[in-house]
Amino acid sequence: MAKKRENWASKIGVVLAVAGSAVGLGNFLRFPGVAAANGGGAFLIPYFIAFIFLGIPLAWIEWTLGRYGGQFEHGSAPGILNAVVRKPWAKYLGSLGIFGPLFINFYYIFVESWLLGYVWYAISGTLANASGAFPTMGEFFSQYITLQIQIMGIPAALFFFIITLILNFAIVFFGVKRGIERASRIMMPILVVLGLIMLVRVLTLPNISQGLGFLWNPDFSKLLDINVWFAASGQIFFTLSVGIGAILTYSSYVKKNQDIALSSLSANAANEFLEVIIGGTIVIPAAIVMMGAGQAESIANAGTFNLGFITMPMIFGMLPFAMFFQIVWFLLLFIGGVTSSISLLQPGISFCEDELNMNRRQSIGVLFFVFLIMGLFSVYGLGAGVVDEMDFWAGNFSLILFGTIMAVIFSWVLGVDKGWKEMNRGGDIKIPVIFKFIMKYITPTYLIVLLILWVALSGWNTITMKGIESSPFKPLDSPNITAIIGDIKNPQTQNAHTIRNNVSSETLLLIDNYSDTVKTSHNQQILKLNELYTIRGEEFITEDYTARFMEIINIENVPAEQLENLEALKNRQFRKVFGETYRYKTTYERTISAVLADLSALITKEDFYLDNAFDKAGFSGDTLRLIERYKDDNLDKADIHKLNRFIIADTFGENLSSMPQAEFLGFTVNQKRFISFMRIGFLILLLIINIIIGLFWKKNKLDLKLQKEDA
Amino acid sequence: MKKILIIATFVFLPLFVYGLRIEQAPLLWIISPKDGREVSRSFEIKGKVAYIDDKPAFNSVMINIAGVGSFVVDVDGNVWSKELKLPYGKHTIEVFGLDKSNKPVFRTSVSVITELRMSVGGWIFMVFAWLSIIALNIFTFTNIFKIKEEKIVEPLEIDTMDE
Repeated sequence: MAKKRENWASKIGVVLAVAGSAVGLGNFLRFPGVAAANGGGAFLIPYFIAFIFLGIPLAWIEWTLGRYGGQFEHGSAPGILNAVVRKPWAKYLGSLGIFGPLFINFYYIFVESWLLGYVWYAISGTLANASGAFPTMGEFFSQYITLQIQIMGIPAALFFFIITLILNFAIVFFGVKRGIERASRIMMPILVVLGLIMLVRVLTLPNISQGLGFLWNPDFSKLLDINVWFAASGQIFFTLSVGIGAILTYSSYVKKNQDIALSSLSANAANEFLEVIIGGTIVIPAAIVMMGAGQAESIANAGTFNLGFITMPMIFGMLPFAMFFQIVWFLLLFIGGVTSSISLLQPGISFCEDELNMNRRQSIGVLFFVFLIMGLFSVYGLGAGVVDEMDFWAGNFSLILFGTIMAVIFSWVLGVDKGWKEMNRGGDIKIPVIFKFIMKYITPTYLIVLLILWVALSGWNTITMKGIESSPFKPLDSPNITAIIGDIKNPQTQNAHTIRNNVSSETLLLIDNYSDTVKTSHNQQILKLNELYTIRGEEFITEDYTARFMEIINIENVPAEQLENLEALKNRQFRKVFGETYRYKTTYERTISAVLADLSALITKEDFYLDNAFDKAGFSGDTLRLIERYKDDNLDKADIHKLNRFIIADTFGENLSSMPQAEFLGFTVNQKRFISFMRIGFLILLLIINIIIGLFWKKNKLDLKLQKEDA
Repeated sequence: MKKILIIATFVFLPLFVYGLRIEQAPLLWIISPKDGREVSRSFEIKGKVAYIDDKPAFNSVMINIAGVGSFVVDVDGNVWSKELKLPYGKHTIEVFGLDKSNKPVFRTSVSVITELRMSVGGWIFMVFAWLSIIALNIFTFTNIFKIKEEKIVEPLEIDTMDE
């Protein structure tokens, strides 16, 4: 502990670094979607209430605890909490402040690398060509993240991940002052300038008031919905980067008498500028202006990745200077991502340096190795739900829990009076006294309620994996889809007959026309496509390709506009699956996607079991048990969907899996089982972090030192 | 700065409260099926009676909106339907006059465009949010740069004294 810890060189440096930590994809993609879906302008009421009672106080608390811990030469959560609480158990609570940033970054850097990849493809013009239509843009994104697009002989997603990882570590390698602070001082102004360019471009679009109207017109009825308040609180929590442990570490490098009150508020203000003003103006309004008001709902509900990687490149592709705006957009997001990910690296580095007595070179080396392994786990496990799981446990659960722990420790363990004094020491502004009351009572209560609400509204279902069996059928669920098509074409059992009667007429037409010729024709077309890929090399989407794509659709006599009018497309589940599989081009593939989409639509039919007569002899024990519970009126919506899925799967026996399957490293795995193993793995890693903490504390006799200090 | 904040509060708070009271702008335009001209901007249900062009449509009507659903307003003004939400775009609305036995006695149809536009409430919310955030940024960052200058002076004085 004898080595001297670094300090920030300037106040503006730390403000920009913390603001950079907070500004990320959520500002530009998550906020507008959440706001539009939760009352538009009216959403701003719970949002600002959460900002004042939750975000601002919690940020001040985290800054205070961090600077306090820094005085004792601790920069990571275990050391800081131990120094604050002065009890041996506190350091183990702090392990969440290591687990959170590490696990968020394990997938965040991967997602960030997509942005770098897209910058590259925007510069090369590939993106401008691909952004002509939803199917091509969607296909490009899908193929990029599933490692099918190659660059220099390796998957492009892997290539850009490695570059992004090296870039991140290169920045933190130079330390807090020469690395993070300098990078933030360069990148944050660039981020603001790029954001302003996009803002001006969007605000000068014709009919922009339409788009702004969708985002800002208040719908006050939404304020009565508890989910809206929950969404607003969640957005504030995530956007300000509180509860992760990054601010805790950053502020540990603040000098003892240096201001934190104004710095924290400034960082929050900068984040709000980039979120509400810039983020709120770009995505949704531009999308609605360019794609029409009729698409408003689907755009708002498209999800963060669809908005960022499919919708937005298409929108900028429609504008003059498409390539320029695509580059600006993805560069903007990439810089936002880098400033966040370096802040998430620092708690781990600080833990290695301050608690494990490693030097910077050693800590960078160890963490780079860990990140490479876990990052590759994200790269290759994306389809199996690895990223979703990490996001859930580190990016949601750990975040809210650790935020609550910090608020309680500050107000009730350290004591709000002592904490208040510490917070205001060296302050360049005087924090209004009302916040003392807010921090003692309102913020901890708010957080505890938020934690309970989060578990009740969304967390519990994910924890128990409820609803996973009611997910739609994917190609992986069916090892022999042609056998299923054959069963529906010529049903041999009563249940197969029932399924046939429930299939849409459009799909039935495809099934009844299915023959070996269809498969042969498919193989021939795949060969033609492969030829095309070979000709184009690693350049995936080109004008030639788009033309070829349209040609194939026309050959099949199923123009896109005709597909959109199909009756079956009114079923949401059907649309989802069909949308995902629409990229298939041949009749064979279209038949498969139509069959899977139809079977998936049946899963969502509430009265599917009641409306049909099934032969129970073919049902498995699980299905029969669900039927018994159904008779007792003991099934909720998710269970009914699960029953439907089981019935359909039982009908086709081993040709269709009742449990959703996933692909990991080329193997097909049971998704539920895979997630269970992954969770055990996460727990083991958390346990290892705690063992390391315990061992090093013991080795350095830190608990003993603490006792002596107290005595 | 304090004065600016106080003035801003007094100017924007009433606007903000006013914004809360403003309902969403009418979203329906009725277009004449003959020449496509706008004939009405109000198609709405006031109380329990359906109005087209600010006049009660019929004593008893059934209104069907293709692809969305239908509802009936009976002679007593009761609306027999769930809430209908029109997606943005063009819609054809069929209006049936019903006799006591619920048989249609006549029928007419109109085209309706549900238009998305920024309402006054929307503008107020946007301006309020933007100005609040800009004011907070001006307050914090001017202070940061101001204090930085002051603090450069202080240590110099101390250093000089030490020497």
